[in-house]
Amino acid sequence: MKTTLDEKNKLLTVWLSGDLTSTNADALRAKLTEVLEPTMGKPPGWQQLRLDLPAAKMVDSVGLNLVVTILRAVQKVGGKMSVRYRNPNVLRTFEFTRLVQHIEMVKA
Amino acid sequence: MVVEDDLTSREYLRCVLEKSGCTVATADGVEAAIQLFANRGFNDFDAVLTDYEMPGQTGLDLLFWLKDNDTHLASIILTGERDRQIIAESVRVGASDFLEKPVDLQKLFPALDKAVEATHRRRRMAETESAVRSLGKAQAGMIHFKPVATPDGGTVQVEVCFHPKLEAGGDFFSHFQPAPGKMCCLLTDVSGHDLQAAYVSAYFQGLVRGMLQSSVAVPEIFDAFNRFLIEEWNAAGQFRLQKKKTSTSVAAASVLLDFNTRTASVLTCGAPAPVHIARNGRAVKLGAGGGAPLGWFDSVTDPGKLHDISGGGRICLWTDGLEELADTLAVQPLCLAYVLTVAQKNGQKIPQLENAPDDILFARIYLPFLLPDATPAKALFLADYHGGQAAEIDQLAAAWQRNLQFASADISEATLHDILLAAREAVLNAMKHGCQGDATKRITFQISFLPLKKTVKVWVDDPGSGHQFDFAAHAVTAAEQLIDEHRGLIVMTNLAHALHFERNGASVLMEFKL
Repeated sequence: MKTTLDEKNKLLTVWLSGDLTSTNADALRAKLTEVLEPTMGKPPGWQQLRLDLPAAKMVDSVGLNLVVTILRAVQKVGGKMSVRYRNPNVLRTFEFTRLVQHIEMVKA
Repeated sequence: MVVEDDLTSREYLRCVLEKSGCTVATADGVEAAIQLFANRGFNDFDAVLTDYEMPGQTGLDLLFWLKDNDTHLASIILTGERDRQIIAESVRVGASDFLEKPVDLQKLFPALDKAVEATHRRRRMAETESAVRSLGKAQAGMIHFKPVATPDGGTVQVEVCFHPKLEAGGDFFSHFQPAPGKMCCLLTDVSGHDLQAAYVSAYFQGLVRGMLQSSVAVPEIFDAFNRFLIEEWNAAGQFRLQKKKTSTSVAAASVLLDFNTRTASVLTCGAPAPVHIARNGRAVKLGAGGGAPLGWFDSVTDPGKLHDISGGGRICLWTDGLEELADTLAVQPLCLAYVLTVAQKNGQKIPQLENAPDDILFARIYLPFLLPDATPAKALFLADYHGGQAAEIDQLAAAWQRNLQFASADISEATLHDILLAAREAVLNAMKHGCQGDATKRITFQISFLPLKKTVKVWVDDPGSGHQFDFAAHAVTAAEQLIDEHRGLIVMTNLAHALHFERNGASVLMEFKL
């Protein structure tokens, strides 16, 4: 996992190298907590969060629950969330779980 | 036969050989030698002793002729001088030896003994090969079984897929009718891939047939043959065709079908457990399988269990050669058996069979009860997992993927994704909730394929009590209110074309259209 902050556009990008599933979701959750939790009560330096999944072929329910956790953190600070994907199966998964109601899907 | 143009040398050789006890025929050239073979046949001779330098055709020409006409008869070539080129050419053509002229008797007799021995050895080998070929043809005939009538007017069909490693082997399948309304199917796998293995296998099959007709029970027959192997066959090496020090063992599986009670009793000794596949594709192992083959230990244990087969379906048996090849291909035996039988029906060759480490024998018994299923389901994958394996889910899913792609190479990426993701959710749910993460609790997982309906079925069964809730209402609120619970179930419901629950959800069946 890599994170980059575009301060000008207040865009935080979280990049994952592969699938988002039960086998890596817990480790990612622990790392993301440090990034997403407000420190010392100050608001974060971003307003948009992009989850970048260019190599993901599969996102399972545990991965989706992590996405929901991120989404809640984004909504908490009044921000917006998007997911960048390449594999159409990833888009389908977000569609039938209705998460596209809350998240913008961007084709890579 | 002595072939020599020089009268003095020819008569000298004839005299010394006859004095030593040989029967000698002589020829004064290649043409006369060929005529002698034509008159008396090759088997009338044990060796040929021929001069190289003769008018017209040389001794080497005779060797060339022999190579084309009889590959068993050994020959010695006599050269007037040590001509390396002639010697090399003679050896290449098949001469057993060469001697310099004038002939040294100290060298002639050992060379002749060696040549005679070589001729006899080659002839014995040819006879053995011929016997192996005959036996191999008999084994190859195993794939054609006539349907067997049952008392209620039905028929049992048997389909066999057999690929011997060599021309004949120790794998054998046959079936007998020991009494009205009963049928015994027997699969054997003798250690080794030679004529001896084939012989032991055939002997065992004959013994079972004979003893069953005398109303002896299968466990008693297995026990009798086990004692025979230990106390007689393996103890008395002189009975063996080859001077091997290894003991003979026989892996065997019998399935005794009783059409009156509609039950099957299974006995396995060192053979994989037979699998019963119900009409809907659901597979269950009949017994534990494995254990010691016959010939190792002094007792045979009969599990004494009767399996209900009243619902019909099929029973599959195979030898461990199928399992070994499946291992090398990283697929399951059931999946490999499906691919092999499809290839056999279509007359296709399976390239992977070329490197099979063992004989491969797979038999499928079609049970007669109820109407025949027009779209029989083929079991591809059957596994037990425990509740503590959630961290291994990627490896488990990789195995499902390999088997699905092996059985159906043209499966689309989207369908494969849907099957793997939904199966993953079901298995993780079974491990987490059905087994509560407990490594002592087991899950059964199965994939079946209905080729005619182009459908894949996935079953997941856990030992838990299941969970009841209003899924339709939950699916909407879970998305709108971002609730975490049951998202796995939402995934399964949306990916599978049909989803069936039994036991309050502790048994799940998902169907996918290809």
